[in-house]
Amino acid sequence: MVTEEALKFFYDKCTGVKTQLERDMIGQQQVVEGCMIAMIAGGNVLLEGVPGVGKTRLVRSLGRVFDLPFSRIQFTPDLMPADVTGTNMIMKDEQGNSAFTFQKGPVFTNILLADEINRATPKTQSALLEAMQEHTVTVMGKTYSLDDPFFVLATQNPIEQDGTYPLPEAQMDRFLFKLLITYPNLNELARIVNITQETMDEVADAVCTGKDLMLMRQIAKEVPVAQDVMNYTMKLVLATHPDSECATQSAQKYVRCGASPRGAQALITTAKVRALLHGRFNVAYEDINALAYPVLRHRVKLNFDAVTEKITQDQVVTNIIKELTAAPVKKKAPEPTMSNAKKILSRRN
Amino acid sequence: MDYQKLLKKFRIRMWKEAIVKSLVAGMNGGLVLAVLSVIIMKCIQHEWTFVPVMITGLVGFLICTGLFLVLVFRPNQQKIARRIDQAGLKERVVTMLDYQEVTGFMIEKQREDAVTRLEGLSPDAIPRSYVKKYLVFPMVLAILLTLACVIPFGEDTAASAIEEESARQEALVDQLIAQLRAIVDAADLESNLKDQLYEIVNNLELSFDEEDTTLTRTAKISESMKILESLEASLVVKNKIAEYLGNNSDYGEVANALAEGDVDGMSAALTLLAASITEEDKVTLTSLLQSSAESAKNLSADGVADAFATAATALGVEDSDTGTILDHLIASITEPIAYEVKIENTIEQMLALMTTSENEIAGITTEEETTQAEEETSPSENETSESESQSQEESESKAEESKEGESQESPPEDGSMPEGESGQTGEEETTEAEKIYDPDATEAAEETQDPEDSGGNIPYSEVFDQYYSDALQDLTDDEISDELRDMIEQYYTSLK
Repeated sequence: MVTEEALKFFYDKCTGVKTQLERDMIGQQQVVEGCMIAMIAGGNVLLEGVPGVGKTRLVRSLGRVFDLPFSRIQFTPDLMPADVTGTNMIMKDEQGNSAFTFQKGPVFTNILLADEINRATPKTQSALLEAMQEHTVTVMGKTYSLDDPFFVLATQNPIEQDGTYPLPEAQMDRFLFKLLITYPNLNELARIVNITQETMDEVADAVCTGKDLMLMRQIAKEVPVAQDVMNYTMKLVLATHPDSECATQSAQKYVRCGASPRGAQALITTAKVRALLHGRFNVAYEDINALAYPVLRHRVKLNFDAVTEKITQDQVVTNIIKELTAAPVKKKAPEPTMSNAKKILSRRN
Repeated sequence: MDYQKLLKKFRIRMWKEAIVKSLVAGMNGGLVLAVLSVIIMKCIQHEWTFVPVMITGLVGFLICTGLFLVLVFRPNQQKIARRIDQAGLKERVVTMLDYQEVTGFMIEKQREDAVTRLEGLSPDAIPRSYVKKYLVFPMVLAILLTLACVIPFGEDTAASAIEEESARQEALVDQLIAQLRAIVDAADLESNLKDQLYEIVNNLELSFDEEDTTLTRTAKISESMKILESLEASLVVKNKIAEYLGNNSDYGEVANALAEGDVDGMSAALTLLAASITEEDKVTLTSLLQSSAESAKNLSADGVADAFATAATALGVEDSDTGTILDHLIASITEPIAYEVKIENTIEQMLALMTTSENEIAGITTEEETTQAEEETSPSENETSESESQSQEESESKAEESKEGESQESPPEDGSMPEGESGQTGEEETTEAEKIYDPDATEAAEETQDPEDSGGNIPYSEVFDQYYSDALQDLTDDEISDELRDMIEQYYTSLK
């Protein structure tokens, strides 16, 4: 049951999480916000960026902020599925009888860092499929549940492709967001260097527990979505399909395969969280448009024309949004910040 | 919550906008209808006028305005909510209206948030949704309407050509009237006779109308020519005397002198006449001269009348000597004949001028008349052009007149002597009727003039008979079926 206090709790926690994350992550506000939204919405995140931009640091910092058990798996080509999920081992009990006992792998945690996930073989990558979607692990015919909340935060390097195995479509679809971490700008780089002169460790404090996170997720689910916005979202997702009746020209020209229904689910779920984070109690077109990039960029498969013309997924998404007529927000209102959201709440109280 | 009240100020604003949009859209509709009406009127060859186009446009404007207002631009609650959200409310109002029947804490919070934002929003903050095309379309349509009105269509071009040709004919008519008046002005004639000539010219002028066709105009000129010719025939008695005298070879020179109006040669001719005149001839000539005197009196030409009367008296004295007769004839006939020559010359000038103008007008055949003639022509007669048929009809009628004239042995209406009797005069003044091929004419005439080679016309009856006989001869061929034979015979029968 959402109450006034619950809302205040939501904003307090969000503010705290953001503040703590910004202690470890300089710049990259969109990535930080994306990670927050994904974690509140309960989705997995694929972080893509060149080495050294803070992917692993961000994940470790998230683990600290949310005060949740954190595991890290460094994906390598010789990593086996059992190394991820765990395996049955012959163990002797007190009476000296030998029996198979399941030894839990690193996946049995709340936050799993799958570092350089594309370096593992597809077999090992696929070991995460069940855990990511159903939050369960099945070994030797026996299914084990993972503790909630469970997140997979994977990283991958976009430039070193030798000896890597691109993630299969099925696995990509199970990531709620794909966030791109870019190079910091001049000021951000200077601040990063200064901070890390003191210590290389993450300094973020835990401000949110797993229970808090689950409560925040419940609160976000209550946010209403207007029928117009819902229709627009469905149209946007269908527009990525070149054979769809809603397909835009860009999709027909550059897209080989569009987003799955999981994309539409992800858009609505995360848009609700974003609306609350931005001090609104309803989802706006703006939320859908902003989240279309992290939600759709890894779900849209480009064709050969796009590759030859060096068209990226983000460009295709931009074109689709432009081509859709249901994006009527022309006059930009001042964007509410977290502090503004708090003010709104206090004014109403 | 009273959403109607909440959205009232925005609804008024939206209605104003809807009315403006509907008016512009209605204007577009009206202009489209006006353009279409002009085009349709031009296509159906209806002479387009401004008032029906305006009425059509106005009706279209009213209907389109109403339809657009009711069906398209009328603001409902959902439309108003969407427009308000465009003012930066980020779908708050749409969501509020969508969830107006739902309860719950988050919904209430959303509603409060939306209401708070709405209360602080001015209706003017809603961005106007006037699209440039709403203003561009009327301009384009107005240009189209202007072009449709100005640019002549195919029929208009034809109509303007007809008008142009009609104007040329009118100019020719005006020129003719002016020249006729100038001829009468310059003529040395009695005032009464000049008045009669003026009246003929005036009547001719008044008879013309702007709506006249080529045929009507030429017919009116022909009618006036006939009046002039009849006037000439009634006034100029010298020709009658010449005709009478011409029948007797003894008076041939007198007849020629009279016919030619040769006053100087008249004395010599009359001397011969006086020497050889018989009593019978004296009686006839006396009668002719008396009638001439009566005609002259009718014209109030007293001098001329007296002269004819004196001559008649002189001839009427029995057993008068030749010298007395001669004196009287020379004294009395010479002067009237000179006057008759003036009359004849004046009328001949007028007739020549009218003939020339008639031919010129007939040469300007308007396209409209050509079309009418084509429509009237039956399919079997398509090979014959309008001009040919017209000239054929004219030549037929003239040929008939000529035939009648010859059979009655009367002189032509223009006063010239018949061919063979008047000598050189008859040959020089060849009339149109003389060009007609006459099967009964002498062999010499046939040898000297081949009607087909010289471009002359052949009477329709003769051509028809020849064609008919040729067709009947060809029908004897066994390969032609009875049905086809009947059909051809019926065709020729219908043409008879």
